[in-house]
Amino acid sequence: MKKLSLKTRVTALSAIIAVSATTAVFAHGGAMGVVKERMDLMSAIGKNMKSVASMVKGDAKFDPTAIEASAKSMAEHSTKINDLFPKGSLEKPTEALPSIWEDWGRFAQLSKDLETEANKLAEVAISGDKRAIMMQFAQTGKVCSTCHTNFRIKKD
Amino acid sequence: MSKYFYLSGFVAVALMTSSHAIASSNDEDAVKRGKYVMDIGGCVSCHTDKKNKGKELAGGVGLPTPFGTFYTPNITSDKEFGIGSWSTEQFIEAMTQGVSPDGSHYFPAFPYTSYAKMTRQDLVDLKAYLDTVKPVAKAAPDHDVPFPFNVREGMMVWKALFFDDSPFKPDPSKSEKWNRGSYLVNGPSHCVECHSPRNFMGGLDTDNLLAGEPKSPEGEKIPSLLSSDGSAFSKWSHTDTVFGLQMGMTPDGDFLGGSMGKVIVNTTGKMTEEDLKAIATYLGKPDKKKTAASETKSKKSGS
Repeated sequence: MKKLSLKTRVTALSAIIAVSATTAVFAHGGAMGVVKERMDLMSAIGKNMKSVASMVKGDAKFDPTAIEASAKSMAEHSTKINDLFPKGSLEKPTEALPSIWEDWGRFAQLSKDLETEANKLAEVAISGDKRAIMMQFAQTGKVCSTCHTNFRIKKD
Repeated sequence: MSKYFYLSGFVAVALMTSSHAIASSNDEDAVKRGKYVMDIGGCVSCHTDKKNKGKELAGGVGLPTPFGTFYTPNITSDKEFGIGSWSTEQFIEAMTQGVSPDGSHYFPAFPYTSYAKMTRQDLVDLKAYLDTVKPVAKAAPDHDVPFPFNVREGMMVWKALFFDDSPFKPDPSKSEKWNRGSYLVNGPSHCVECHSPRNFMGGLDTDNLLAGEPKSPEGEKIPSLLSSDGSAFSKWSHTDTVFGLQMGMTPDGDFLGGSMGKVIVNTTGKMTEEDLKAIATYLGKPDKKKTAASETKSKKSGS
């Protein structure tokens, strides 16, 4: 059996490293381009919601300033949603449904609603009124659920 | 003194004239309870065609299955197109035996397999509520189910194989809360119907109830609800479960959608906290806070 030259081995090795590095960078099961960008955006929004939820649920110390920061971050993220859903972008492993573009008006309205509700959450956060914060948190979550009910399908 | 006399006189007159009023206030209670039964059963999810702006409970929602598409019927109080002409007994027969008033067998896309576990009281109340639902004079589309699955007589065989019509039996070794959760999950709320795998004939795989279904007819992955299989849900706490069912949020900040999104809006989001806690308890997530508190309490009383 022919021994591989050093050069071949180095090339093969660097190819392996390159491939594994790429895989590591691509979270979300190999998503690329705009699909990856919006999955990352959704994860960022999810992180914000999780942080607020842990306080609402009593798992973490109640911190109105942190809630306000999370809410503002979500409001900002929400303005980027529509641009990350160009028509027909359904490349794997997307969970987006084609109904997004059949009912674009509704989809875009939900993105706008998220911004509105998240901004309201930031406002009530400053007030420090725990009950009001909880209600507004639920209101914000409702937008997430509505959109995921109509426009997303969980495949794994 | 005279004040009391006046009052008792009033009560006596009221009693004499109000037997009718009392009966109707009982009806009102039944209707109120029945509304809650409808919520824990989530009837709206399948019997209201929200997507096409259909009227409340007028049916027409298409349910894709491996055997074809079933269209849900109109269950408003309309006497011709709904179920307004049914007696309470006929309604109970339909819900628990899967037989319509004309004697034909329902396809199990209608989950009478779970409703068979419902208490008579819940069913009577539910019918009382449905009788108050505004009638809608509209027929639902015919099922789009090819031969041989469209033969209703075949359902008799199916029932003999897969339908257990025994009523709900509480487990006396378990808490009242656990049993309430078991009743909801296996009965009116019919969680088992989607969260369990099915065999090739569409029967529930009774050895793997609540173990999840990798691919539903809609193409969704339906997660396992078992606490013993290392699934994502098995790591949810009691609070996570109650919170998740209430507003749809998962512990990692995601919000459930798809068919569960509908369930949260129409069913679990309308349940009392007590019932949600019962479900969490039944699903193997005891309320730790309470246990800890009652433990300290019992320790204190012991010392």
